[in-house]
Amino acid sequence: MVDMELTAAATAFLNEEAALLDDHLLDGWLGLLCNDVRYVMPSTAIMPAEAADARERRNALRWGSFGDDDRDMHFWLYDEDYSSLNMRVRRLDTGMAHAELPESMTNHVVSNVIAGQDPLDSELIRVRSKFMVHVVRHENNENTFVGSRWDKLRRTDDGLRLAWRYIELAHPVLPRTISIFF
Amino acid sequence: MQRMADYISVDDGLVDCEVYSAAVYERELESVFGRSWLFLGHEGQLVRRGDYVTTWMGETPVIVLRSMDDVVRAYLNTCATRQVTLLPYDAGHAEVIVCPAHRLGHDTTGSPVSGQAVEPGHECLVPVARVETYGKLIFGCLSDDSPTLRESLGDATWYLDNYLLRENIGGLQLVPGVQRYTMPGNWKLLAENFAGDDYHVAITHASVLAVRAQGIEPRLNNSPGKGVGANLSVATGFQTGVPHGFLEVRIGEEFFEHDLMRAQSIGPEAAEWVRTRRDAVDQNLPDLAVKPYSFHVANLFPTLSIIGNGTSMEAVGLLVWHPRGPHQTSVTQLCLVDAGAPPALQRQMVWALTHQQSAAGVFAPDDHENFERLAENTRTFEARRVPFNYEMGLSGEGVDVRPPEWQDPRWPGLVLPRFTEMIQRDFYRYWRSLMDR
Repeated sequence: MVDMELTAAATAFLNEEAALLDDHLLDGWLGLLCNDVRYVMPSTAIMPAEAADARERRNALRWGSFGDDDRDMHFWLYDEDYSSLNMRVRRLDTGMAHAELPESMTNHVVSNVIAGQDPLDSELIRVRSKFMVHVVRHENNENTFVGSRWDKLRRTDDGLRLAWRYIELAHPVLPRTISIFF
Repeated sequence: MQRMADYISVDDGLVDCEVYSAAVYERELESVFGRSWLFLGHEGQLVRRGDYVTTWMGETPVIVLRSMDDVVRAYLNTCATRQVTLLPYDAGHAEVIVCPAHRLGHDTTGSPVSGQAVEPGHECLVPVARVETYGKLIFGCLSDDSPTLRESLGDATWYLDNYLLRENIGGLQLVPGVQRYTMPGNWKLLAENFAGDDYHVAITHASVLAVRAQGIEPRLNNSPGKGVGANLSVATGFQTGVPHGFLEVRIGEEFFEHDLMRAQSIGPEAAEWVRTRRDAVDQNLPDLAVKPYSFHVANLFPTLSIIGNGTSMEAVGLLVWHPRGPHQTSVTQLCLVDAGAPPALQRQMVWALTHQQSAAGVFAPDDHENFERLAENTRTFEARRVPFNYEMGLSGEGVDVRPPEWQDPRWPGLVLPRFTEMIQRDFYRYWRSLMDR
């Protein structure tokens, strides 16, 4: 499913997005999201190897094949739509959000990008990527978040926009609480 | 080592930073974590026989399981011969537990089933001394001779029965997904923050209150606002037993009306559930003239904290503070919803907890910042000369603030003003007694 041209376009999009996040230009970042965006991050657990059907279901979840089904109720780390992401940005804007005062120094490094046409929707492309986000707070509180993303980017008149993001962190125990975006 | 009485002056509300030191830490792993009832999990994690989860008691790894004879049991998650970790997963299903080093195997009741024969009493699998459940909450104790779980919970059971567990209307249901995250700071600071520090909320979390006031995200709108009803704190076990603290104990029809209004926007079934939940309290406590609507936050000594419980619009978060050295804590957080609530309301509950008091919520990272800023500083020589100050409300020590018409012996606990440090003083009083025992 790898498409070189789409991979180049997706890489450019993800790099632009990472620059906005690292520069704390969060309204600009919101501008890269579709109004109907879904942005989710499950909690990670160390579990025995999954049976084939469970593995298949997890893969389907990663590409967004779930909605309000009761089976999918989960204690998410992120379970966002545009309204809730906007709320998070507005909170940081109050000037009273201690967790980001001073703003964390972040470096989003994005790699291993694989993109291809979405098989179900001609407007969407599917993009897998890896990331490392290095976070520094104060003098010497440094942590690195590592993980994978399953994104769907929508072709619009204004260019590519994020319609779906599923984030899996590679941290059974998170190194710190989270006040940044991935 | 000196006695902790030299470091903690409860009468003055002063706590020396020494109690957060490495030397004290080594001793409290034994004196506090070796003797207290510690939260191990929820029975919803152990549905089938053979289901298990792994967790810790202090720094000690343990296995909690439902054995093949349908009993909730707990074992050290290390073999007795070489301290090898037995089960490397967070959760799973096992009918036999086999040590990966020497292949000594045990069934779920602890009997050896394979490997080299050992003398009786030399089994590889070591049971936790005592395991008990209270309303599907599983607790373990590593000591044989400390008080029972019921004795340790004391009057806290009244608040748990009527305002948390609600078993008469179906009880709590575990939501899949366990959050685990690292917080800076000594475990005591996190536990007593939930037990007794409602004062920090409006300051540390001012940004959340501000964004709620903007009204841009109605799902976040948790409480009816200022100047409504009564919002109090409660201490149980005060000066006599194990200290548990309950915060934002809400009294007044407005809290119910606000929940009802929000539920109506979800649908008639959700509104009906809000009524059911309120009526269940009335049925349990028919003769109390004045009674709380809910409590929102609590800590059960030493390390089980509760949050999100004050409103029907939010799930319950159970947080366990696992010590990881004197200046770091590992958090395990579960999410539970009312089993009987309609799915649309359950989803709102989970959404509200996820977005507020959870690892990536809008509250916890601000607390993280406070603890990150203070953890290292308690190590300095100068810090030892400036004890932590817990003197708020000292002049009202031990005084119940209920007006005469609220007084009723069937409503236990010491009812306190919302803002006081009395619960924290009692936390350190009891901790000191365990350490100096």
